[in-house]
Amino acid sequence: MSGDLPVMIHPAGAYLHGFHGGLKLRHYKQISTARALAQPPLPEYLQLSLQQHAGSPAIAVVKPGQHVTKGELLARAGDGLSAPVHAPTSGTIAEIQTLPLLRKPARSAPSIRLHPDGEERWHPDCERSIGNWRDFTPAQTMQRIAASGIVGLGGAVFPTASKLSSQWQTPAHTLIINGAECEPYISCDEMLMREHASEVMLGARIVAHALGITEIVIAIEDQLGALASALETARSQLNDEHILVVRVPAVYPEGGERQLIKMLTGLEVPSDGYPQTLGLACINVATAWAVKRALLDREPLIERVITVTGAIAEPRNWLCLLGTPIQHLLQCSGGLTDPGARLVIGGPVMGEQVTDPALGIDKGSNCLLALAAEQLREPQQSMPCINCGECVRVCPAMLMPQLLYHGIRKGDHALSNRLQLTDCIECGCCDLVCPSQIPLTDYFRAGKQLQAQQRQQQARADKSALRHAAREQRLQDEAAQAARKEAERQARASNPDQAQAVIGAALQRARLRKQAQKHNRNDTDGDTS
Amino acid sequence: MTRMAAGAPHIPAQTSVQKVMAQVLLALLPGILAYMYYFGVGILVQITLALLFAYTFEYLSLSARQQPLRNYLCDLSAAVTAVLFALSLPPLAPWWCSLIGMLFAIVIAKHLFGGLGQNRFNPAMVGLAVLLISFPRIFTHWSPPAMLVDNPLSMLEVLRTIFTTQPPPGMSWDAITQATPLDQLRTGAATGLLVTEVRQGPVFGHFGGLGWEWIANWYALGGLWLLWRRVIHWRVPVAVLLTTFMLTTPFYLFDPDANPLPLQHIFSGATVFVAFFIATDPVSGSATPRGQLLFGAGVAIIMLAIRRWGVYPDGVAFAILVMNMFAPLLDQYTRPRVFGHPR
Repeated sequence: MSGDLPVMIHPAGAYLHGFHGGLKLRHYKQISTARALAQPPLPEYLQLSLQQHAGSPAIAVVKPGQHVTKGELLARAGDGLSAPVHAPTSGTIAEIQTLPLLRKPARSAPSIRLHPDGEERWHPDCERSIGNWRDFTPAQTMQRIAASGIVGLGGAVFPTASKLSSQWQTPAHTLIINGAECEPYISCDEMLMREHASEVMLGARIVAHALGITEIVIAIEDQLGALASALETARSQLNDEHILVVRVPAVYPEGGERQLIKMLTGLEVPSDGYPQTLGLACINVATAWAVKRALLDREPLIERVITVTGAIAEPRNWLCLLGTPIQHLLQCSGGLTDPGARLVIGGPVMGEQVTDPALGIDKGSNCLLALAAEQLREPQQSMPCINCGECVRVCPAMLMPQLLYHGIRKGDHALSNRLQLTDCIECGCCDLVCPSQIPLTDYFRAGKQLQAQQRQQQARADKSALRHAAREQRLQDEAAQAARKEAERQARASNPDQAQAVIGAALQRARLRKQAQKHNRNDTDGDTS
Repeated sequence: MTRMAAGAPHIPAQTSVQKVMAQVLLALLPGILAYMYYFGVGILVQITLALLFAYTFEYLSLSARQQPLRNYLCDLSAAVTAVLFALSLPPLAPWWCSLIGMLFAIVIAKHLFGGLGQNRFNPAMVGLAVLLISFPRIFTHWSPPAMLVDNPLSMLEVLRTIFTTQPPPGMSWDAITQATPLDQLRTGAATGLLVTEVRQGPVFGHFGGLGWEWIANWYALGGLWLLWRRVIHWRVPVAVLLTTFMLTTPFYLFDPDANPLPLQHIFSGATVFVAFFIATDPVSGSATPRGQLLFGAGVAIIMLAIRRWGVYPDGVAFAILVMNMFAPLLDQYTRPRVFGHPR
């Protein structure tokens, strides 16, 4: 791998390269961009999951009944990949219970319920000066980012400090700020850039500084002309010629990190690698903003922008405290216009259905979408695959979805392995073009789960096989040793001559030793005399 | 309260098997109308018969296989098979041709292999190949183009011919049918005539057969519409047509007296029809980009080989069936490289 690293001939974003597949989807973004960014009133309670990030859940450091201040640490990062959780406002911890995750309802984790006191009193740590970020060592910056609970806010929620500090196979050269929100309806990144362009750029500069680089590319979708000029204005105010604003074609799933990097550089992040493999760092605009707020304003990550849109009376973007209940957001936005609408957290293509509107939004919640009943995919019987190849044409991972589907249905895991099922990014493009209405992405998710289970089982089986083999070996060895000893004992018993010989040999050895000792003593005597 | 969550995506696909098939049928319409204009109403009778038998067999097969009738009878796939098959028959072919053809197409090629999406071979071409092998004489009875006929057959005469399987009273087969341009080229070559001499015959038009060349144009128009609608992909038709052109050009340049114009090959027989409507059948074809190119090229090569050396004047049915056999192999060996994996 490292032997033939691709060489960048052109800087990232110098011209666009395109990527395979993808779909042009209707945007529906203007629904939620007409109203300005605003903060909803404080909800009755905040429901803060301790699993708002990739990795292990955070560990609570507060007790029910305890009073906390805004920005105070509620839960420290767990082992390995993890991130801390802070109090979005001051108030009292009501209870800590295990609840399903908002964006992964099949899993659950401890969750803190916080009753706000309405005073919004900041924690003293958040008011203490931490000095100028330019004087920080990279390690200090990363430590600060980690301690502020910052994770990838585009939805992957991978801890940002871990992402940026992992191995660089190629020296870092460019920081990509991902503002190419490609899924329909979602406009939180666009609104954030519109209203806080220079802060996003500052955040980007802080990250770039910590990485020891200057080149920054901000990628936005090409239909956002007004936004591009807003960004240009902010850039000229900052007077930073190293920041490049690039407009990329709005093709779903452009906002996928690997697709965006392919578009900007023409390079493919290796299947088993990361952007670091190519010397690139890629973070979401909201993440950059969170970094700026952590290092300049000393605020941990306690709020984010979320789009509330679709069949909603007053669709808009909210700057919203983490843990704000879904139902509260709905109320603030005027409620549903279609009682039969389905609530989805995320976009219409990759989002997760909301199973419990009492749960609070998490760090990865970029959109709360109410899909009107008539827009929904009906649960209908799918037709057989007719091998039309549309899924092959649109798959951005360049897989063969129809063959994978056959493989998974037949339970042929070897086939799905050969067809690289794990490279599926679950973007849903294949579903959207399938004339037979086959829920392909569902099959791929299930297939991956089965593969993981199988791997686990295999690992367990391998381990017990090893253990079994070791035990067998040990028993054999013991038996063999016992047999040998027994044989020797019997040999001695049955052959008195040999026994005599053994005894004689032992006596002989003892005699010799004695003689030698005597000899030695004589020598020393002689020397001293 | 926790409900069973629906998986993403939450919005539906904007297409369906039925829509795909309906668009194929619609795209065939200009070609069918042109066919009627040049060769009379016989083709309409053939299409009706084929549809009738196709849906009879489809209904029986689905019932026997205990499949949901409503879904599958509405998917229009049997209609596409029937129309493609009927368009490959001579317009005055006997009524039982459709019966036998559809029996083999729908029951054997389609449902015995597992129904929609499971057929290894193109059903319409299976039906056609059975007739070509069993009753080759039927395929010598092609109607002459309308410009060469003084008194075209009436609807009644056409029906009587098809159902009695005899020419109308007082007429012979020779009077109402004529050898196709490809037939004439073949027999001409056998009797030592130059291609240019054969082409002096009345059945030849500017490029291909008189009338046939225009039907081909209308088929191409429908095919282009399907391309634009993304119902079919460009690779198969381009590969068929380009390979036909590239393979025949050197022969023509080398010996124009013995070899027909490359355009002749494209505009006579079923080349255009096959390129856009038959070889593009997704089920029995290849789904990979390179596989589709190879599939189309293979169809053209085998078709030309049969035209040149085979005993059948136009071998598209066999060309398609042979390439159908290779399709799984093509899929296996032309798999695209997965994103992020080494080239």
